[in-house]
Amino acid sequence: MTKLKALLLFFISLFLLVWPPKQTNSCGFYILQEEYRFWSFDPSNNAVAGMHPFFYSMELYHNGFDIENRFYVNEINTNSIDEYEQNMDQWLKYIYKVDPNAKVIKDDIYEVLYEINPIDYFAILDGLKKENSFVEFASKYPSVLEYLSYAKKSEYQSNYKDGWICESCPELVSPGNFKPGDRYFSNYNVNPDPNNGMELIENGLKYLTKEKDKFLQERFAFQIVRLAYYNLDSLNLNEAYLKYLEPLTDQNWLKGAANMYHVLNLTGPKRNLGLARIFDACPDKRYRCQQLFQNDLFDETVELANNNHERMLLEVIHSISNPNEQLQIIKKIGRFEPNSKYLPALWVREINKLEDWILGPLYSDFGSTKNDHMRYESEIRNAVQSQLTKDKKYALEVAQYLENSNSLVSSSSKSFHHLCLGYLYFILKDLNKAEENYSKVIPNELDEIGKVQFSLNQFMLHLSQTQKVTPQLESDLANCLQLLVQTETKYPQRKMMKFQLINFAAKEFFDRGERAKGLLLFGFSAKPYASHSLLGIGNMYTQIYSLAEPKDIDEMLFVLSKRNPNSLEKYIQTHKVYSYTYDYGDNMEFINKNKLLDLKSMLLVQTDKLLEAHAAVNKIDTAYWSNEVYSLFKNDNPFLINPWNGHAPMNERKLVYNKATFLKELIELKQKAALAQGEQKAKLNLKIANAYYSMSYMGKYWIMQKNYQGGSEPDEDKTDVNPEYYSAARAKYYYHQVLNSTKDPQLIGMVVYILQVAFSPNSSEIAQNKSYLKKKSGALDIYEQLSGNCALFYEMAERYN
Amino acid sequence: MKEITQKILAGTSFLLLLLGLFWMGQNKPVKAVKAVYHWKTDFEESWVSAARDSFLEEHSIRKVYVKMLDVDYSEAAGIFPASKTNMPYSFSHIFDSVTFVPVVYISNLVMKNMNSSQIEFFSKQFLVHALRIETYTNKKVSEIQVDCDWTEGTKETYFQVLKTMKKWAPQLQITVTLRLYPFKYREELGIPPADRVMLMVYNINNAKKFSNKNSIFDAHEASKYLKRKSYPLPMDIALPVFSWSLIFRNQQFLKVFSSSIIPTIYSREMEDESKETCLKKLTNRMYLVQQKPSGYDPFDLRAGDIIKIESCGEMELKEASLITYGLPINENSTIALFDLDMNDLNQISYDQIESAFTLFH
Repeated sequence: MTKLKALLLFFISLFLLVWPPKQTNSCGFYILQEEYRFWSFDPSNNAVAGMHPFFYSMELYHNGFDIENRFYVNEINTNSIDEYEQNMDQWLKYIYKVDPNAKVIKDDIYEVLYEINPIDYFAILDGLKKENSFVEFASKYPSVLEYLSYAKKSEYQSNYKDGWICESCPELVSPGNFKPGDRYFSNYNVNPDPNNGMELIENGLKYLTKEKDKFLQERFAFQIVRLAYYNLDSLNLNEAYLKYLEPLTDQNWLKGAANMYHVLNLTGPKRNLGLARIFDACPDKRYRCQQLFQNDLFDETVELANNNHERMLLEVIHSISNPNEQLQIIKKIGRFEPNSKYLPALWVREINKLEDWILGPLYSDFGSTKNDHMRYESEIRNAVQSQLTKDKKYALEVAQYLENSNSLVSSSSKSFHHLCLGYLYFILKDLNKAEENYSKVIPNELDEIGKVQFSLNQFMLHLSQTQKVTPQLESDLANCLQLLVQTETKYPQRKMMKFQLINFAAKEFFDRGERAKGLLLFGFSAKPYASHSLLGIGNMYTQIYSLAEPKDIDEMLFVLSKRNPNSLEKYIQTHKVYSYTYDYGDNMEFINKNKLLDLKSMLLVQTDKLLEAHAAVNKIDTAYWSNEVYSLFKNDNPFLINPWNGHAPMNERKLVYNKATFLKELIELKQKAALAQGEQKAKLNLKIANAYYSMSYMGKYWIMQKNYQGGSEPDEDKTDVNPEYYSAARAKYYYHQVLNSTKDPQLIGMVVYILQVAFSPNSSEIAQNKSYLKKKSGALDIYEQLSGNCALFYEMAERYN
Repeated sequence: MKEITQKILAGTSFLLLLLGLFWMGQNKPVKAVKAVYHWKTDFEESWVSAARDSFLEEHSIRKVYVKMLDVDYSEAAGIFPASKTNMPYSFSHIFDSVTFVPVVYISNLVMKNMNSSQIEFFSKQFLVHALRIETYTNKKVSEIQVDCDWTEGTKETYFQVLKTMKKWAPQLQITVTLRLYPFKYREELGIPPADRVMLMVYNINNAKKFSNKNSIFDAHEASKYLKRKSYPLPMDIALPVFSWSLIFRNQQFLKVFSSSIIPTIYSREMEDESKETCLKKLTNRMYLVQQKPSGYDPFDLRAGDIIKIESCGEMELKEASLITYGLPINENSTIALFDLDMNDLNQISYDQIESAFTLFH
């Protein structure tokens, strides 16, 4: 018995290993909130540069999510000023001003300024003079070469730690006296030797006095500011910054970068205000400024603000630090500066929150990310409902605010304003108001991102407005998908948008009766849309198994084989699906028609429609039965069972079956049994009963009815297939048929033994079976002989097979 | 012309060998202390265990010189530790029978740029960085070795550093490496104020000079430096068994790595199936980096860098061993192989290594 249990465990483990999910999602499985958060409104809509980290996200800062590989990516580069590029351009301009015939290439400037480390620079300087066009140029102009050397020394002093620090070295106390070092201690934040730094600042000041070239002067000043910052030399930092760099334009990277050191040298609210000003002037520094901004000094900082623009900036930074409702702050920002360039990004941020909170539960089994913290099952339903009501109320407030601020919005932003407003009403399912606002959108007034957004939003609205999916809607969906696919290299966030749109459309199609296409569409999304009791996340095939009817699968097969497909059907036919696991692109394949037929046969077997099930599996290619899943099942005889362990193989005659041959034989047995009498009928019914038992949860051919099996089934939640699957009621019926037809005490004894052992009879059934045995002469003896005697059971089972 | 030169050199080497065999028959072998150098920047326990189990045990080697610190000078950084050897947290349980000697390599540029006010500070730094080995081995060392290719112009500073080190660690033997050049020109370069010297019978040519020559060892050249057979200090001998990869950028020497750099680059690039595009073989010992390796590159190479491979094998070891004939070696002397790289040592037969340890005098 122990061996049988071990075999069963092995079998189940092996099955879990090879059955559809190639990655077993067992204990420890989890999905990240950014994986399942629903959003379809592109957060980069009308966002000014540098706002990308502050898009709504369940992470501290927005990164974008590569769902196929399950990691965060730096998805969107919102046209930040590239300091490196600007600096190199400034150098090129300077070089050609100094020497119009110079032949300096940008790559060489990059190599010297940003690639070579300071130690290597000096080690190969002689070679660079010959082979690097920038250094070659510099070597003709001593002041330029002098600056480069100074910059490299400054770089070392600012970026590298003092290498002589050594905690694992012994300490030299006195001659011959060493205190042992500490092997486990490392100090990572060591500043360079301040003596060297101060000396370098002094040298820099000399250069600054001597140098008359404004271009080089500014750069020397920048190096001094940086060195002074790291060496806590406020005096020289301020002097160099205010005299040489502060007068530069805000667009000059030198000013922004130097100002950062200047501001970080301040403390408290003054530092906060300085950061806010840099946040405004330098898009590439917005992320860092927000990180360094001390929110606990917010009120004191507001008191220092000189005007409404600065007050607005402080509110913006405060607002983007908070993931909850921010309408009140947005209203304040609007009052301080009605045309603030940051407002559109803040509207979109609220829209992204609301679609997560309100639409999330509709288009993902995982719901809104907001509900994640609600731990207790019993509280979830009420809490979610109560929260949803609050969220809808809040969405209406946001929509009303946008309505009211319409007159303040500049004419160029009106279309985008209506696009936002329309989508807010869509979230609230006020489709009329959504349409009314969309009708006021002039596509040409939208930027490229806005135009694509508008197409998506219109499709979503039109689909929601209809009772039935029309060919036009299918065409619109295909166009939207193509649009997203074609531009996802330039806009990486569109890959996720595509999946969001698919999840939306799949559910809406299914709800509108277009069940086949709806379910198939799920296959093209890697974003989780359904939870799965065993696998963690549902895939297209598990969705089809759970939700489809056999006729839906016929429709799917029709769509897949259609000769003149429309654009959506063509998309379905020609794109690969996430077939076995939800998250790995490398497992993609075209929709497997054999698998669909197989699923159909399972649904039919569940309702005992064996002829139709056989017709379905008969269409499956023979090779399918050799795949990694079915190869586990084929070498066993489903017409013989092991009553102690239904999953244990029992195939003395080495028979080979697949679903088609199994069903064929079962159908023939049933046909013969219908015509047979007496002992012959009993024998046939025994095999039929065994076959039904094999097809049940307890049997070795459970795959005839269900496309996966877990070790912990069944429990009260597992109601996704006919309960007959778990109880093996049909098998029991046929065992009783055997008893009704036979007078053979051996057969009676064996069948009652099966009923007692292979099922889990309750006390009344046990008593009933025993009482039955007592009435049948000789059967009780056989029953008692069989108890625990495997060899005898196998011998008898073979005899009756 | 080149071929003729090569033939002459080969002929000379052969004659030297014959001569050596003749001398061996005439003289008694000296059983000195056997040692090896560890010159890598990572002292990995697993690797060391493997070396111990095979090489050190087989040859009964009882002394390991470990480079702990590499000091260089740059205009950017001043005098700075170019590398510190990474040590495993603990390897006290191995090498029970082995004595460790920490070594500090100091570039001559350091001596050129060290002013008198810095000598005290840096001498102490060299000492404590060398003694860092005690933190990991839990064993007290009795000797520290300093390796510096000093010149006439830097001898005063260098000797002052050695004296200062001795002042702060009087209980330790301070030994120094001695190149062939200062061995020969001892009047000009002076006798270092050290307890012993380790004569390095290699590094004839300037490795930093960009040329196709093998800078590690040339028997013909080396023998010219060893005409005198005595030295005022007790002597140990280091023989070459190593290979390295010299990196040149813009025809300037940049840095040096172990010779495993080539197979490492190849094995990494093989994954991308771009082996051919990453390195191009220029000559037998030179490779051109054609493109910067993708991903993290521990060597920090750039397209256009030249990698020059130099190696010393069985032949060179034999020749180096022979030309030390007559030097003042006795039972208290150490004969060390430079260095304990199993890739290099595996190329040489057991007998040849044993015979290198047994010099004839």
